[in-house]
Amino acid sequence: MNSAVISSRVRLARNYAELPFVPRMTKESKEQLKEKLRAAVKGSSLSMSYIDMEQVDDIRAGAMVEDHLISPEFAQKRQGEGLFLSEPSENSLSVMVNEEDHLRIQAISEGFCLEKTYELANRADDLFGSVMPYAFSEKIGYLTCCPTNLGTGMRASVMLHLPVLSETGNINRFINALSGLGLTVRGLYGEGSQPGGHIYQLSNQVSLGITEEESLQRLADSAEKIEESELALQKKYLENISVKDRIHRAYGILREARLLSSTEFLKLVSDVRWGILQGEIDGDLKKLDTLFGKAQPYNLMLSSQENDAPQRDQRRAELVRNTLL
Amino acid sequence: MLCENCKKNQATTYFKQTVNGKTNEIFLCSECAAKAGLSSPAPAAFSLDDFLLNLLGGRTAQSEKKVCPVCGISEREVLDSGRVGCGNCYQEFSGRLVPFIEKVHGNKTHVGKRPKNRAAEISEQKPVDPLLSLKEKLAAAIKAEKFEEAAVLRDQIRDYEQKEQQ
Repeated sequence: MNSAVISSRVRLARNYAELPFVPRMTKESKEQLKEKLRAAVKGSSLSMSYIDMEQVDDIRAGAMVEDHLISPEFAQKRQGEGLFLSEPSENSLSVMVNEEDHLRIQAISEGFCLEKTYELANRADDLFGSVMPYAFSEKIGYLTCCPTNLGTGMRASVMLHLPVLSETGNINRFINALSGLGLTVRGLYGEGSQPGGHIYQLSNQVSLGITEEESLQRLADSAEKIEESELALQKKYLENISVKDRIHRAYGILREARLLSSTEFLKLVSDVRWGILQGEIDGDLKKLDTLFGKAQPYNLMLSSQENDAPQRDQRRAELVRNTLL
Repeated sequence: MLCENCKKNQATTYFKQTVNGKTNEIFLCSECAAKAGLSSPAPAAFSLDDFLLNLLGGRTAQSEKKVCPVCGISEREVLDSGRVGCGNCYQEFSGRLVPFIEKVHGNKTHVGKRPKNRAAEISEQKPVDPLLSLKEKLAAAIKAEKFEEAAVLRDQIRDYEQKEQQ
């Protein structure tokens, strides 16, 4: 279903009780952990491939960050780290080994489906938990390297496209109200007061003293409210002919441009996205959403082998044209 | 009012945030507030977690020496980095970590998922920090407005801290 929510994510932080946490581990013990997990996953029902991060180059690591499969910190270090990845699909699973915690189990789904996404992460959690006992306390839950992740170790998030709330500054009202619910909002691409593409990530801030179900419910309820407000504003703004014109122009440029910088692309794709969502433009939202990852610099470098920015802009324009045809 | 972090200077900065339905307030002197990255006015993208992690770094004579017997990390390193070295650190340094955990989460008891096959888990020892348990009792007494009981507890805490310093 078409929604202002682009994707849903659930990440679980886990550590094994028998080992020191990652910052206190030796190179050897990191290797041993990777090997042990590799053997366990191989003989399990989880169909995931293994990637030794030391063998991964900068471009591929950067593309993985753009696809939200790994964290920027994980991509930067690439020493003693391993990654389990499921086949790319509507619901994908990635497990970072030796990030800040022994395990960062992460499930990502297209669209708004937190429950299903959690279930995917939860199944992987049970499997990795059967390899060795987890560090767990009845009192404070899963023991994590940073105390801010204690309890469920869960960080759930939804990626929201909020162009009108963002442009009108109304988003700030929500940001203030959400902190009282243990939730946070941040811009996803770029810096400054208006994030590139008007894409925001709404996630739970608190993980102790709240069940996974309640946390997911709170997040879903808030995301729904924000979405409702955004869609109502979009409808109202589209009544204005200059706004309507802007949206159609954006669609025209995306379909015809021969060079597209990353900034221009994000601005235009944002306009087209809500045009499609409101039925103003006839297009495939699912296809359009794939561009948010694929048209990023590292993904383009990976698919086209182009390292120069001008060449990349050409490739980006080509990719966008082909996707929107 | 004295700064809640260094307990030396006069508090000049007041910070309030509601997390998980629970409101946290903190009074700081200008020095500690600056150390925690809390300039006036507070920046728009202000994270309470980062703020409290910074505050964790407050130095005490005891924290210089205390070391986790399991992983070897010192309390000093934990406070500076905001990261523990192993699961045991949470028991070992509970005196400093528990108040922080409570501030960040607005709660201190886990209610979510437990690992499957819990029997295989290592046996768990409850934290046995007498000072911490006294402080918890004091907070409860104040909340329940049992001020006489609170006064007794406050004296016990003071005695305990004095003994520790000696």
